[in-house]
Amino acid sequence: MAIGLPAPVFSLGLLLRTLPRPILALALRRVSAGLEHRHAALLRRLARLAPATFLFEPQDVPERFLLAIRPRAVTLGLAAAGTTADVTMRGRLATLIGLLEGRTDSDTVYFTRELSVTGDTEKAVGFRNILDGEAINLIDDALAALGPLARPMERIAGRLDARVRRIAGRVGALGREAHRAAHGGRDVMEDHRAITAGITALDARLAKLERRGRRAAEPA
Amino acid sequence: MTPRYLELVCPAGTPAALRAAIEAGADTVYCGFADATNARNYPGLNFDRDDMKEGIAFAHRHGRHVLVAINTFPRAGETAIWHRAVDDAAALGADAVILADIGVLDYASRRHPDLRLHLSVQAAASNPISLAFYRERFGIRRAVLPRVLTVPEIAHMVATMGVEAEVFAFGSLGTMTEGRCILSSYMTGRSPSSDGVCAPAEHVRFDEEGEEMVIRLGGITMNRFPRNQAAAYPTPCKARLVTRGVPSYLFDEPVGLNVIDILPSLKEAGVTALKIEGRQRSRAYVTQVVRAFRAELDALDRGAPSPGIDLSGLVEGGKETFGAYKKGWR
Repeated sequence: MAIGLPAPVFSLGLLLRTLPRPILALALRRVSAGLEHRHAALLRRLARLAPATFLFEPQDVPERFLLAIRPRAVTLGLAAAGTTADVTMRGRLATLIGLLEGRTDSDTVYFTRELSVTGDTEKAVGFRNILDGEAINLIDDALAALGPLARPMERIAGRLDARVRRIAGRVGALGREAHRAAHGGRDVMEDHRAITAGITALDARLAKLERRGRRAAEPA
Repeated sequence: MTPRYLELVCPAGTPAALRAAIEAGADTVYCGFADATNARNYPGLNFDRDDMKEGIAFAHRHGRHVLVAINTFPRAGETAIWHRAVDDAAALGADAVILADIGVLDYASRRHPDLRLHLSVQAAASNPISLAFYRERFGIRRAVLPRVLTVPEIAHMVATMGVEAEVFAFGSLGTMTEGRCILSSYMTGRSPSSDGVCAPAEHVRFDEEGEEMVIRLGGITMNRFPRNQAAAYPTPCKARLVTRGVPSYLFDEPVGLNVIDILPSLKEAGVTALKIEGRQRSRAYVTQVVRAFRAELDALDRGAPSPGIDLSGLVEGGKETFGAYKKGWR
C-alpha cells in the first residue's frame, strides 16, 4: 500500500533501460547538482550520516545507483560493476521510488519481503528516518535537471504511465474474469483468502500435534 | 475540540509525520525529543526543540493536541536530561507529558503543577491500587493501560481508577512486561527502559544467505526467513528460538494489534482514548492507519456501518490480533 499519486514509474523504468549509460550518468550528475538547491535542509540532515554510501538495486532495471553522503556533498550516480556500499537496498523500481518519496512504508515492504536491506543497519535506519521527514518528488527533481524540456517531458511521461495503468487494469480485470469463467464464477481473491486461512489453520494444528508428540516422547 | 466517539491519539516520529497525522484526522499526536528520554530513540527520528515548537503550533492551529513522551527511566546520576525534557515540553506548550518514572513524575508534578501528566504504559500500572498511587501522589490525569488486560478488566479499572484510560488500538505488540523488558540489553548492552531502544539499529544485521534472510542482534541469530515468508522485527521477544531442535516463537509471535472490530466494546468499557503505536514507522503508515481509524470512529459516531478498511498489510508478520483484549494473557 502506498499513499499519494504514484510516480510515472513505467516511463522512468523505460528511460533507465534504454538511455545510453553516458547520458544517464550525465543526467544523474545534473540531478545531484540540483539537490543542494532543491533540498538544502534534507542535505544538512543527511550530512549527520557522513561518510556513508547507499547502493540501490532495482530488480527490474539493469542499472544500480550509488548515493554517496560526504560532510559537504551528496552525489547520486551510476554504480560501477562490483561496487559495494555501507547499505544496499534491493527491490522493484516502484518500491524503491515509493520509499525515497515517503509514499511507501518501509517496514511494510520489509515485512512483505518486497524490500531487502543489507549492510549497516544504523545508517539504513537513519537514512530512512531523515528521508521520511522531507517531502521529495524524484520525478520533479529529475525533470528540474532537464531545464525547459521539463514540462513537455512530464506531460509525455504522465500520459504514457496513465495509459500503461489503464492497460494493466484491463489485463487484471480480464484475468479475473477468465478465472471466474474457468472456475464456475468463483472469486479469485476469495479463493486465495480461503486457501491462506486453510494453511494457517493447518499450521496451527501441526504445531499442536508436534507439541503433543514431543510431550509424549518425554520421559515420565 | 468537540468530544469525539473516542479520542484518536496518533504517533509522530518526525515533524512530517505529525503534520500527516493531523491531516489524516488525529485528535492528538504524541512525539518525543531526539534523545534517550523517549522510548523510540532511533537514528534520524524524533524532534529537536525547534521542531517541537513548530509541531505544537501546527497542531494547535488545527485545534489538536500534542503529548510529549518522556517515558524512559533515567540512569543513576543522569537525571538532568529528563528534567530538561519536562521543562522544555512545558515551555513549548505541550498539552501533556507522558511519563513513566516516579522520580520524573515527582519532578514534573512539583515543578509544573499546571502541566497535565499522563502515565506511560512503560510504568506498567495494571491494577487499581497502582493507579491510585500515581493519581494521589502525582495527580496524573490519564493512564495508558498495559496490553495485558481484557475488556472486562479494563471496564473494572476505569470504574475504580479515577483517571482517563487510554488503550492501545493498533500496531506492534511487545512482551507483556511493559517497561521492564531488558531482553535487548543482554545482547547489546542497551534496553528500551533507559536508552529508549529495543534492538538498537547499530547491533542489527540483515543478511541474505542463500535462499534465506537471516536477522541477527548483537551477533545472535534472531530469525531465519525463507523466501516469500513474511518477516518480523529484529527484536528478542519476536525471536524464533530453537528448543530441543524445534524453532518456535517462545515469547511472542510476529503479529500486530488491531481493535477496529471491538471499538464499541472499548467505548462501553469507559475508555477515553485510543493509541496508535508506531513512532518508528513512516508517515505513509501514519497516514493510512489514522485515516482508517478516523473513518471507523466517525462511522460509529454517526451510527453508520463500518467502512471495513483492511490494514492487515501494514502489520508485522501480516497477521492481526486482538491481543489480550479478547483472550486474556497466557
